[in-house]
Amino acid sequence: MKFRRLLINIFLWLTLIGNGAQAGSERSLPETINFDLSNGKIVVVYQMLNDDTASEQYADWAYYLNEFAESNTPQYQFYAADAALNDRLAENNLAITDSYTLFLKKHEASFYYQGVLVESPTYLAIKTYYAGEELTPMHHAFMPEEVTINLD
Amino acid sequence: MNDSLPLRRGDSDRKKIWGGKKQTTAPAYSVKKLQADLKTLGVYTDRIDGDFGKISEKSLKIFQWVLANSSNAIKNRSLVKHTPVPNLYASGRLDPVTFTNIQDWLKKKLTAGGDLVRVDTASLSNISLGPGFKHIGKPQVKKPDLVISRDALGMVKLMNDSAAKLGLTIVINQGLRLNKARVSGAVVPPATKSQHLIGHAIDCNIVDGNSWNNSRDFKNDRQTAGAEKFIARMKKASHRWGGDFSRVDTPHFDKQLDSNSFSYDAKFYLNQNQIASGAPIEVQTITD
Repeated sequence: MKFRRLLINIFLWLTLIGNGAQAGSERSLPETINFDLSNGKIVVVYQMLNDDTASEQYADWAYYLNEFAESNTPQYQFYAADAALNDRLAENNLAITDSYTLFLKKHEASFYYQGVLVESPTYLAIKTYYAGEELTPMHHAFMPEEVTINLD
Repeated sequence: MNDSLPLRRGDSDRKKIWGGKKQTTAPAYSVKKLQADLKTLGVYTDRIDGDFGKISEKSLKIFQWVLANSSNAIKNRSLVKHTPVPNLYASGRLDPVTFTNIQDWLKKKLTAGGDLVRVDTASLSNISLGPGFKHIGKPQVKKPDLVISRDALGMVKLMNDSAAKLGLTIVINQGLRLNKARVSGAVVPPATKSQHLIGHAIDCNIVDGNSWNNSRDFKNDRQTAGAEKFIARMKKASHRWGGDFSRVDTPHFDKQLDSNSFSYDAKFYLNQNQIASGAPIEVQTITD
């Protein structure tokens, strides 16, 4: 009987701990991004409102984004934009469009690609920039617009 | 083969349904035998269960499509040619012509192959692979190779010829794309249909002097006259340019194969399988 009570107590304790952890992880997207940035991550935020997944545009966009994510996670973290984040970005005077890709790193420049990103050299340029390597003329040609973002 | 029992979808060895009807005696050529043969021919990958369902039907259609439309086959891991069978419709039913050809291919130890070719881009005067070009990491593909469908060879040749004439360099970012179900690390669902998946598309930048003619240049109408002339030449030869799509995709050129057609489905299966199975891919030289 004592053993059974002990098991129940352990279960309740674990449940409480679990709930506490869950409550702690319920951050808004801007908070999550800030957390990642503070931990030295580079954050990529994307918004794509083209739901025509049969289009070549969607195919190219999804392919290059996935390729970049597959080979650069966990150093890079990827998030789909939500309303809360878009509100915060608008407060930073960013002209939010239907589709965009935003690259963020703490204490570094942020870059905003307006429209659907279908060019792999842009990802290469961003990676080269954040790695602190020298940019070639090609990298410069594909760098997105530099913007100042503060999500604090 | 019992000609009165042309196997079709819905047939089942277990239920003794052959040729669309319940039978008392089993035919010499059962559904299981057909499935096993299609597997040997490289067009069936599912279980050999004796039930002629959707997958068996599609596999049979792919083999019939290969018989009628392709001259490629594989023997002992080498590419060989076969003579296409005229007027054969990819019905998905086992007709006598298809049956005869199945037996003929098995006897000759042939398997179905795709139409992918490798182009050594180092041999092209005005085409190069971009620094972000992702090589197909398969043993049968070498580093400077651009892998495309044989049907898109003319498009690559025209790209090279036009670039040479206009003093441009075409920097390719991708040709054939491997089909990936959503894999670990992917953040968005991949497209299930694209001309890239059959080797009919090229993503590239038209480099004209210092201009890369990227998407932003086209969006802001800053593309060079050379790029416009290049695009006009490609379109004149009936190639599609992504800048004309309602969902604009300026780096994209393709030789479209209707993605709703069975030809697309057959080519998708055969070309993706050609890569995945490690089957050989012929080198093609593009000459002036």
